[in-house]
Amino acid sequence: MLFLLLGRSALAGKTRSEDTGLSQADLDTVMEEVPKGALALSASAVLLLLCGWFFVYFFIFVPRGTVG
Amino acid sequence: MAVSESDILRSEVRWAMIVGVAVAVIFAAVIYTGIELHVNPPSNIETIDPKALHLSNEFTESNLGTRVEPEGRITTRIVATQFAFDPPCVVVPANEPVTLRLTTPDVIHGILVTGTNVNTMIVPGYVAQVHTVFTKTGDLLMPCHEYCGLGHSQMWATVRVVPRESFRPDAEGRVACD
Ligand SMILES: [Cu+2]
Repeated sequence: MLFLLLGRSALAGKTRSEDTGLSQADLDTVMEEVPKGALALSASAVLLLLCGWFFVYFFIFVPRGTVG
Repeated sequence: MAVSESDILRSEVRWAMIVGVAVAVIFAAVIYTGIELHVNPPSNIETIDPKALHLSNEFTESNLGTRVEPEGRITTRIVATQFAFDPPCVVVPANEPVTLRLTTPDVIHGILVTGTNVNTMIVPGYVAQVHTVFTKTGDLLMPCHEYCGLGHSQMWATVRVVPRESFRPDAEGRVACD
């Protein structure tokens, strides 16, 4: 599903850029936004992972009590 | 080149710092758990002759199950075999420190007690030992969690956690499921 979406949007972008004939300057402007998007994606992924870890830690692992 | 090398480097350094903080926080939680909450991986290096468990003083048939030791410590001894635990049901009191001691005469087994952090392997030649406190009463399932042969899926025991007042040792200090 994700591949399908990515594939389609990439394709859509390609055809659009060919259709409208974007200049290199336009593409460069878009490229400046890329690190922000990547950071937002990785930040939310890591945040979710951390939330999952602490959820398991506080709500499952710690209530299960001591061992040693 | 729209994004300069230094921009990329800066965002990578920042990202590395964020990840570093995340790793540090998790490490701190793990260390806190070990030191403050006393939750550690069970580690006990104690050898026993797996061919002569019936001759050992500790793991003879009559000494298996739960026993209140003369010093007052509560110890539960279980032998794991292909494909059963002996005894198949043990009684332990709730909210008291309990020591589980397990060994096997045949192959590698393992146990976990559902709903608790009790989880250890049972290796022939060694005595596995876990100290714990059971907080919830009821019958807990204790399956073998290490594939030990064709009967592995039939291999489980019951840990019966009873309130302190229902935990009544006999003259020898033993408590068993009836
Ligand atoms: Cu087994």
